[in-house]
Amino acid sequence: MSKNRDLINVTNDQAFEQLKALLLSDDWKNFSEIRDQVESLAKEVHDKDQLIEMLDPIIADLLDRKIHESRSEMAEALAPIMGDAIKRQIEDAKEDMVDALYPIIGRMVTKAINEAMKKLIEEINSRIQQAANTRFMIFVKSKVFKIQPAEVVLADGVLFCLEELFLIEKKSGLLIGYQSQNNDQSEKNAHILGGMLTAIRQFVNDAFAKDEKSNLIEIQHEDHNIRIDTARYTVLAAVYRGISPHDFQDNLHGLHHRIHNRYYRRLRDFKGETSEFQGVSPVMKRLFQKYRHHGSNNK
Amino acid sequence: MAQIINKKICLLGEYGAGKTSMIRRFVFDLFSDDYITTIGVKVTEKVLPPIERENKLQQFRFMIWDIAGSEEGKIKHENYWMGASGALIVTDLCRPKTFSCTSSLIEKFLALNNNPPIVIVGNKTDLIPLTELNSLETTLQEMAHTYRCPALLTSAKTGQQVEESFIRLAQCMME
Repeated sequence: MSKNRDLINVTNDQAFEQLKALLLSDDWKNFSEIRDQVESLAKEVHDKDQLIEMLDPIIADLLDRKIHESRSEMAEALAPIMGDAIKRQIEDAKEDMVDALYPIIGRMVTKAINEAMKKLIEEINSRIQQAANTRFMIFVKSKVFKIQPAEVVLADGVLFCLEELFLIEKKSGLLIGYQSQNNDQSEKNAHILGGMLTAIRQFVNDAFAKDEKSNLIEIQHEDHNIRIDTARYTVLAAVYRGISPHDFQDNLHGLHHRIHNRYYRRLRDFKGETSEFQGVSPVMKRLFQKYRHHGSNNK
Repeated sequence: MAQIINKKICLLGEYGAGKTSMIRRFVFDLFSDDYITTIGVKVTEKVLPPIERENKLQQFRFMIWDIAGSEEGKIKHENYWMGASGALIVTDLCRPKTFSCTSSLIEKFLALNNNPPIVIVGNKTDLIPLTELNSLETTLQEMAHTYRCPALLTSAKTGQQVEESFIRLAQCMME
C-alpha cells in the first residue's frame, strides 16, 4: 500500500517538473539571458576602461545636445575650469595652442597696430600743421640730420603735452605755486591735488622706500604721467601726456633748482603764507612756453 | 581784503569717532572716502571766514588731512602728521573709555610737530542724554586743561559747533 503511494508521489513530481518545464522554459531562458546581461553591465560600469569605451561613441553627441539645449548652464559649469584647462594645455602643447590661436591673435595685433599707426599719423600731421615755426624747425632738422620729417617729430617727443605744474612744500603738502596750460577750474582743485599727491608720495615712501633718501619719481596712468622732482623743502610735480622730450627731465630739475635756491630762506621758514612766493608763477610759466611748440593746445 | 594763509591740519581720533562724518558737509571735496581705507588718508579743503585780530583780517585755507582712525590706542600713519600746523582731536562721547587713548594720541602729535595748537572735540552729542552730557564735558575740559587747548562738543549729525571747532583752531593759530 505504502509502495503504491510512493510510486504515485514520484509520478506526480515528475509530472509537475514536466509541467513546469513546459510552462516556464522560455521565461527561464529569458531570465538567464537578462542575468548575464546585468552581470556584464555591472562589470563594464565598474571597469573604468570598459566604461570609457562604452560611452565614447555618444559623449560628443551628448555634450553637443546639452550645449544646444542649455548653453548658459554649460558655460556656468565649465567656466571655473576653463582658465586652468587653457593653462595646462599651453604647458602640455604650446605649439598646438600657438597654431590654434595664431589666426585670431595675429589679426587682433594687426588691427591694433593699424589703429595706433593711424592715430599717430593723424597726430603728427595735426602738429605739423599747427605752427609755421614748428614746420620750419622740422624741415631744418630733417635736412641737417637727413631723416624724414616724421622721424624728427617723433624724436622730439611730438606727443608730449605739459599740462600742469605743482610746486608743493614737501612736509605739509601745501601748494606754493601752480601753473596749468589752460582752464581756471584746475587751479581751484590744485590745493587738494597737491595735498593728495603728497599723501601718495608719503604712502609709497612708507610702504616701499628702503631708506629716507629714496623718493617717488614718476606716476603713470595710461598716457598721463606725473614726473616728480624732489628738493630739500619742496617737490615739483609735472603732469604731462605722451613721450617726454629728452631734455625735459633736466629742464624740470633745473627749474626746480632755480626756484629752490632763490627762495631758500622763505621755504625753510614757510608757515603757509604763499603771498611770499608770487614770483614763482612766472618762472614756472617759462617751462610751458619752452614746450608750447610740442602741442600744448592739443588736448 | 583778507590775506589767505594755507595751513595743513590733521583730523585725528579713534576709529569710528565720526571724523569723516563731521567734516563731510563743511569741506570742498574731490575724492572718494575710500582713500581713507586704502592709503589711510584723504585731503579736503576748507576756507574759513576771515577772522579779525588786532585790526587785521586774516583768512585761513585749511587743508584737512582726514587720517584713518587708530584702534584701541594703536596709532597708525604717523607719517601723515608731518608738517601739520594744528589738529582737531575727535573723541567719541559714546565711548568714554577711549578718552585715555586720545591722550597718548595728543602727546605723540604734539611731540612730532613742535607743539602746534589743537582743539579737542567731543562728537556725537545727539546720541548722549542731557543728564550724562555735563559729566562728559567736564572730563573733556579736564583733558583740555592738561594740554592747554579748547574743548568743544559737536554733532556731525546736526552740524552743531562743527564749523566753530575749525574757527577755534584758526584763532589758536593766530595767538
